[in-house]
Amino acid sequence: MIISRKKQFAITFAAFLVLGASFKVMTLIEGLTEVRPVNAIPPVAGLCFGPVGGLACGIGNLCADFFGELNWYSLLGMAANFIAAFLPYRLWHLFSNEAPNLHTKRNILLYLVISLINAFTTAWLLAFGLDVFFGMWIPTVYIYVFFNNFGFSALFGMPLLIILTSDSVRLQCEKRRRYMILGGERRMKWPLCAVYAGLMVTVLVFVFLGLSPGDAGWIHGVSAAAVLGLVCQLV
Amino acid sequence: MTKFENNILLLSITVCWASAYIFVKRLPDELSAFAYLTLTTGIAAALLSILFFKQLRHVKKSTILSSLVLSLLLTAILLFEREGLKSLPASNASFIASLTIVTVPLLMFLLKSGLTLNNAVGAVVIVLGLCLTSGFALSAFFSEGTVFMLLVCLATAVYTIAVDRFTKKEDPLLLSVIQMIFTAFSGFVLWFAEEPTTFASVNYTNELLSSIFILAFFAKAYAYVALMFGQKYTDSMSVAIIASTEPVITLLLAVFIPAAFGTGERFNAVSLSGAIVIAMGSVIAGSNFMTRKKSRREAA
Repeated sequence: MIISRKKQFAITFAAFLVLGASFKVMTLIEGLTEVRPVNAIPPVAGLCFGPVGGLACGIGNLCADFFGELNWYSLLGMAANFIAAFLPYRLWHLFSNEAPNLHTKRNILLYLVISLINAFTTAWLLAFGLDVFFGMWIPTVYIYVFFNNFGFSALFGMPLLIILTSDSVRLQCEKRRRYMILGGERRMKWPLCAVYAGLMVTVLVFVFLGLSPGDAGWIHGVSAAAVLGLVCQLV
Repeated sequence: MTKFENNILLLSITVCWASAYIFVKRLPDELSAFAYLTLTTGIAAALLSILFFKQLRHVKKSTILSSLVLSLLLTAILLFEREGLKSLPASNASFIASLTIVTVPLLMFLLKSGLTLNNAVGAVVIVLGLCLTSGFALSAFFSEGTVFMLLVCLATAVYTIAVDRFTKKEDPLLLSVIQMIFTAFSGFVLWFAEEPTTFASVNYTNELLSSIFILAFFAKAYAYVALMFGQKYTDSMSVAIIASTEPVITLLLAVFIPAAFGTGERFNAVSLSGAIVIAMGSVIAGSNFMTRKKSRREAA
């Protein structure tokens, strides 16, 4: 099945908007986050539709905020949801030569690892973004976003991708795009991604130890290094 | 689709149905079962029709007939369940409904469709586990509600086997979309018979709309499309086995999100041991070590 870019955007946007708005009543932190099964969509949208899927998720999230509380943090949410879709797409094609599918155990493992890295990234972007841009350090944001992202990506994202890539649907996924930074140095992907994962685990441990950026300023250095790592993978 | 992919798909449906409880609980008591059926399947049908409009134009007569049969079975299940719940406590009703794990292999045996020794033994172990988790009262079974719940069980088994047959011949996507349309229609007819003002009689609050939308997406649209896809690539017994793990998933959900389930009483030593027995039964029923042993003995 081949879907035009316009339709790719419309489908992802509509699904994100309706699901995102429906779950606004299950608030975990007022104005910031809620139980979000909609987080199953970004990795699948990214893997299937690439940057178009990411854009639809970002804008869909912004529009869904109209049904809850639209504020300046919503812009951060938009950026995080774009990356939550775009990063899996870039990581998949960095580590696999196949179009996204879950037909083999290796691919399932790859999907789960990508979902985990994605959940780390989104949680870090939102929690630290709130701290850096709005001076609000709320560790529970990190925890809720992390579990929402990883849990729902595994629970619903995986079956959704299975259906979309099954023999009956055979969705034509977005093709691989050139890697501007890692393009010529593909062997660098392992050390770079390992360091990035290490930085993300450091952030996770930092949050779970109950530390705050105000007391331990070095975490901003870790964040800055992680931004560089993220850019290398995305561009 | 590989067997592993299929199992993931079927497990996700069980998660959907187990967590649907959270949202069903949030619905107002005055919302009738028919209104619930019409609204959820109606939204799911509309959504699926929009998404798969192109495919719907190529629908065959046989797909429409198969979908009609499935939707009638679904409606019958709802009607029997409604009558059963009138005179049975919820725990007893849920126990009898989960006996599908016995009626599916029994029907398969009668239809001679490849029941293995592992399937049969596993089903018995799962029933033992269900006895532990349900916490039913033996005396409460002596009512007409039991008969209705047994009918639910039988209709569910027929539905499972029918889906198995139909999905092998028809497009699973079209089957699920048209089934949803027919179910919404039959739900509306029943709702109209019960309450002629239908949609106008509902008090639409944000919470109600939110729960209805969530149930329509996950428990109806997603779950039924996934079920049809899953059954295209597997047999009814595998579906019944994975569906029987619902109490285990409900228990896990109750542990991880207790606030959503409201009480902590669902999690105790007895229910935990029941869940373990169900999981063991599922492993026995889903594997083939007994059949392998038997064939090795025969070969020797």
